[in-house]
Amino acid sequence: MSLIPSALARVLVLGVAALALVACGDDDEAGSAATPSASPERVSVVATTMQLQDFARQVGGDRVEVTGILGPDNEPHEYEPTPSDAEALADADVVLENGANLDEWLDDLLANAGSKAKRVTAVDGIELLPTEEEGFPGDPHVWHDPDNAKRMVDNIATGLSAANSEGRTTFVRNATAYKAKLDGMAKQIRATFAPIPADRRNLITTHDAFGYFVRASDLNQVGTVLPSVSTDSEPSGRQVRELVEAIRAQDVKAIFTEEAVDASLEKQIADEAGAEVSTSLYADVLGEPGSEGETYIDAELANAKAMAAAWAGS
Amino acid sequence: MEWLTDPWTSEIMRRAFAEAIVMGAAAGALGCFVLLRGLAFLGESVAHTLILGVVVAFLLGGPVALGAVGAAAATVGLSSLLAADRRFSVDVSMGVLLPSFFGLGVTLIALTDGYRARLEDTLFGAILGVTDLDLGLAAFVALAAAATLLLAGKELALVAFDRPMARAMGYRVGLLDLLLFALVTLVAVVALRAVGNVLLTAMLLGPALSARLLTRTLWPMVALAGGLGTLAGVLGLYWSYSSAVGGGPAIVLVVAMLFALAAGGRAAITLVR
Ligand SMILES: [Zn+2]
Repeated sequence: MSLIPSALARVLVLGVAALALVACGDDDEAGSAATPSASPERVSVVATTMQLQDFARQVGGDRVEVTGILGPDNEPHEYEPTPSDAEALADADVVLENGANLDEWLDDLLANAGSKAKRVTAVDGIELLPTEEEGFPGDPHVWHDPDNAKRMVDNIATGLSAANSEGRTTFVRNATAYKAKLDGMAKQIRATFAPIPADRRNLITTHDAFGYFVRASDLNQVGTVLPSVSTDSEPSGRQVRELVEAIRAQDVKAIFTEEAVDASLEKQIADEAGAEVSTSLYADVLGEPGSEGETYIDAELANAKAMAAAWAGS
Repeated sequence: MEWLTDPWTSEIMRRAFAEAIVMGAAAGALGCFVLLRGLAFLGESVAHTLILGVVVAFLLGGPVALGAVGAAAATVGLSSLLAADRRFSVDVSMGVLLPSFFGLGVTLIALTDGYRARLEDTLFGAILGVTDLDLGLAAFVALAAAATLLLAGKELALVAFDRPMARAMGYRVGLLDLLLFALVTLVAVVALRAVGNVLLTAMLLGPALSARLLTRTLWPMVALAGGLGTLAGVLGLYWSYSSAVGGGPAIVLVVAMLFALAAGGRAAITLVR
């Protein structure tokens, strides 16, 4: 008797879910049809992460039309591609991926879209920080080191030139100009941290995304709330205990969140250890247009400022 | 003995223990009625329903627990409206409502680009991040469940065992169904925080199934299931405190181990006889 309603419920649930997905697909298609298509002479570039989208616009200038896959609300580690992503890929000349297993969902997407685009992997040639995480060749969050960002920009310039040789001079010129700005950003970050004594530069973040930032700016990563370079995990009692002990032992002032939505775990840990929950950092995404983290450079500077403010005020 | 007392020195762990004990006892005890009434699908469906509330709370930026309570209240309210019409039993109205709520939740997730990581975490539980609101809710649910079992336990039992008889005796079967349904939904809201959406059914039915292997009489079974649920909550948290296993998964793994033990015990009893 109980089997029948159970089976019925399952079928209904799956049916409604499928309907919902189909409905969503239609909606997305309508959305992308409304946006103007790339003019024929421009190189059509699809980029996964927001950092890559910014880099591609900086390097490509007017010669490229950049379509982004991830937005300010999409965590790259757990992204579910949509039909409109496949559509954008089908028409793309160049596909920019981060690599190092951050955006590994792109493989399936490319296969499904039947894309013939040139694939550019931004982390190529960058030495990855080691991670014990299974499935990751190394820590994928390379962009948080300005030197790595410059290498990514070079990789993008090379990739764009290969797809559009007439644009080469422009791409190289733009890349050089942007790398100068990145040098300026690195200088500003150093200046921001300069007044902070080394024993106060104790960083705790939600997930392990700031390894390169920590190395570049001489910070001390005390720990992370989620025990992973990815965001889809839950800490155990022991991991929470060890983090609380580390916060107390090293007198850490602040725990930085990443998304403002549900920071209850961060709040409990901060309460128990006698620290504060601080402003959220731009870890894997950039901010909404108009926010203080709108571009890559803005976001990195905002991160440095937030950290320095929390550490200076103690 | 330090391993025994050490977890209790941590405020985070004390909160987690409180949440786990309440959830374990309430889910275990109510699970018996769900099992006997043949509503095994109920827990899973309710879990899905709550997604709608969680997503709405997420979109509005409010506490997730309140969203889940809102969805629970809406489901119970609507099914009571439907069940007021004699042609629909509570089973049928739930069978229609729960998938619709789930579908709506999934649609909302699909429409909002911002189905962020932390929302997903909520669906998988985060017992170490229990807030004051969560604890208050758990206490309320525990009181509601205890009061119901004290005041209407006999009636609920009769409806579970022998529906036609209950009806013949003049009990309002539909109302009692609704009461059970409302309680299960409340427990589900608490379990959503503790073990998450995916493991919720195991928490509701695991202790009840184990208890049923060991006794056939209703009230000992209810007490045993409540005790096993509590035990799983406490042991699971001890385990998580000394390992890399997350709190929610650890609790549910202990539920499964207790079931294996009960099955072994049952087999031994049969052999001896
Ligand atoms: Zn990340």
